[in-house]
Amino acid sequence: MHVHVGIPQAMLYHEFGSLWADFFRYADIPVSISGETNKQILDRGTLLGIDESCLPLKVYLGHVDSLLSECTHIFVPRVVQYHRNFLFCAKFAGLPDVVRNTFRLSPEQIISPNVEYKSSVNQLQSLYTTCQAIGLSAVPGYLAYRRALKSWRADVPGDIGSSTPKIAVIGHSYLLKDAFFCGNIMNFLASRGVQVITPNHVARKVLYDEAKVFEPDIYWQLSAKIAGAAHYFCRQPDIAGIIMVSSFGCGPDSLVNEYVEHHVFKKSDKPYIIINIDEHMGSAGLITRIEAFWDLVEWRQKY
Amino acid sequence: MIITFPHMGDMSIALKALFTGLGRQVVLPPPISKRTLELGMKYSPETTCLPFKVNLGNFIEALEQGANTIVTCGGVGPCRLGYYAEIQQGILQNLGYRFDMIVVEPDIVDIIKQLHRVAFKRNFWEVYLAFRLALAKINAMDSIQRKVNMIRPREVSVGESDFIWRQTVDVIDAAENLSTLRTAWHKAESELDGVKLKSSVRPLRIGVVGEIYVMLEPSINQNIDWRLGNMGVEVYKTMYLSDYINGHLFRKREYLEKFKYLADLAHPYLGHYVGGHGIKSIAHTVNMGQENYDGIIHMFPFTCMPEIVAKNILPKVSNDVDIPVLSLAFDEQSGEAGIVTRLEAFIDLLKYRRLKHHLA
Repeated sequence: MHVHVGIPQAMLYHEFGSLWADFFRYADIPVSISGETNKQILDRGTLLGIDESCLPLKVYLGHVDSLLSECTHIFVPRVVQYHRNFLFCAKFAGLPDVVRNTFRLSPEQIISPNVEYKSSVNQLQSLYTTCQAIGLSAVPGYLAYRRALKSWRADVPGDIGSSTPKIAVIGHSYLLKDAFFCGNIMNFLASRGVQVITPNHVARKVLYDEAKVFEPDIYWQLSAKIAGAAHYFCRQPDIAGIIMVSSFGCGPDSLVNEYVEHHVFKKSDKPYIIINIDEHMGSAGLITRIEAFWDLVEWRQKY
Repeated sequence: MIITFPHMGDMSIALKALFTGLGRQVVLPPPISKRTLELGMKYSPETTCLPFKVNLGNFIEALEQGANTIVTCGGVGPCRLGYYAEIQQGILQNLGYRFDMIVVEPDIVDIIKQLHRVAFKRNFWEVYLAFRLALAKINAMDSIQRKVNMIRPREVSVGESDFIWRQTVDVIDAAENLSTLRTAWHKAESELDGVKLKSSVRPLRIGVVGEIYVMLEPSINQNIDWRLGNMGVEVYKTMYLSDYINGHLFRKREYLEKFKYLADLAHPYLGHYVGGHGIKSIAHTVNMGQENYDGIIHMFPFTCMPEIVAKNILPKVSNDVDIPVLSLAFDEQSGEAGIVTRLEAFIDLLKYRRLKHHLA
């Protein structure tokens, strides 16, 4: 059976992508990553997705679309729950179904292991589903998974140095790591000689420990990570300001931003700004706001 | 302790009976108005879903009128509902209101615990009686509403069934014990049975699926049952408050079996629970397609997470089971004309389809 797996470089790829891609590589399965988001992918996704969808979901569909011509299988895991105390956004639980029904694919064309608990049984089940879908036998599959998991765990964020000032940019990884969404912000900060720190530069464990303050109020895992990061950065003396990025139509963000603003930002003395991005990519409005924010940060540092 | 709670359709009638029965004073939030929406919009996060904003508006208006205890519901995710109370409390405190908030989790043990906490000098039997009366009111109202929805497109003198309904609601609201309630209920049913119907009409049948709040709250959904009924459509709403209570709280067997059946119907399209009513929206669409309904109206609040998953999938379902689906997202801007125009166009389409089938 000819197998060519495609992984959309969007949504949870930015959290777990290296694990997934390494697994297929170690198992000697041809795998393609859809590549960076661009205007074409966004436009295609906007067309395919329903109007009310959040921006990342639309972009995800654009990525899937760009893979369909060359790949036989698309890897869309159903990530429901990963940690006992947390859930993922409802859209991740329905993602394989959304992809399948939008593109009218047959169930065989989609590899969608269920990730529901962090137990080893569930890991093996998901692994088995994946192997079945691509006709890979269990033993090499398991070995490939072990190897991929090991290198994923070894990938701890390095120290980013201590030159000042630093600006923390927080938000979902699928926005921060996607240059199409946050490139403008990052470039602007770089041009002013500012060092940018994101939640991905901090060990995951530190962030989730920080987030324990908010349990059980925040039950989405990625939101807990963001709230944890906000809590962490607000207490670091070398952070000069915080930029919070979220996307229009994001369900969890709509409430968590309010919560974080109320419980974390307003109680600290750090300057902060919350930026909402959508599919209208005009950069002037964005840059103006970041410039104004930067002026404030500089002014704060002087006086 | 002066209690208030958010509006959702006719729920306030039952909750008023419940808390009054528990010996507490109740302040109903004023009926949802433009001002309610404006207050809610002004103080809510911009992109949160509509029920959050309307609830918040209800709370502010009720607190202004002297309520000091808010009873509202909790939840467990992944939908946003479970997070409402926490955020709303923060916003109201910021506005300077002083109040207690009682968050009732949607399971029967927690409800009994919280009721006991609220009850004022009432023994267990009296708490039970209050609870039973409230439930009976919900069941009575839902049963009559179902019947009215069937009669409305068929009645000879337009508005007769609605007249009976409005009168009965007042009696049910005033009923202080089960026997008065039952008498009113039976009277309404027999009056409705006596309504003169046009004999030759075979009205279009439309199923309404989607999110419970917009489905039940007429001020938000532009009174859609009534509108469709007057356009000559028999409306079948897939969810009433009593369905939710019997299924999710009491876990009655017939409801659990039905839910299992629905989950199986939805499975080829949506293989996992996505919170809220996402799976049911898909399942009922399949089910009603098989039962030869003429069309489906899918309604949800703008940005509702579970229903967005459902809406992404519905075009495929609609195609497979051959039933037209009209999706309506409601936000605080929903003007009457926009909704009416879309309903009219949809009904024209359904009539045309029926004609085509008839000729073929």
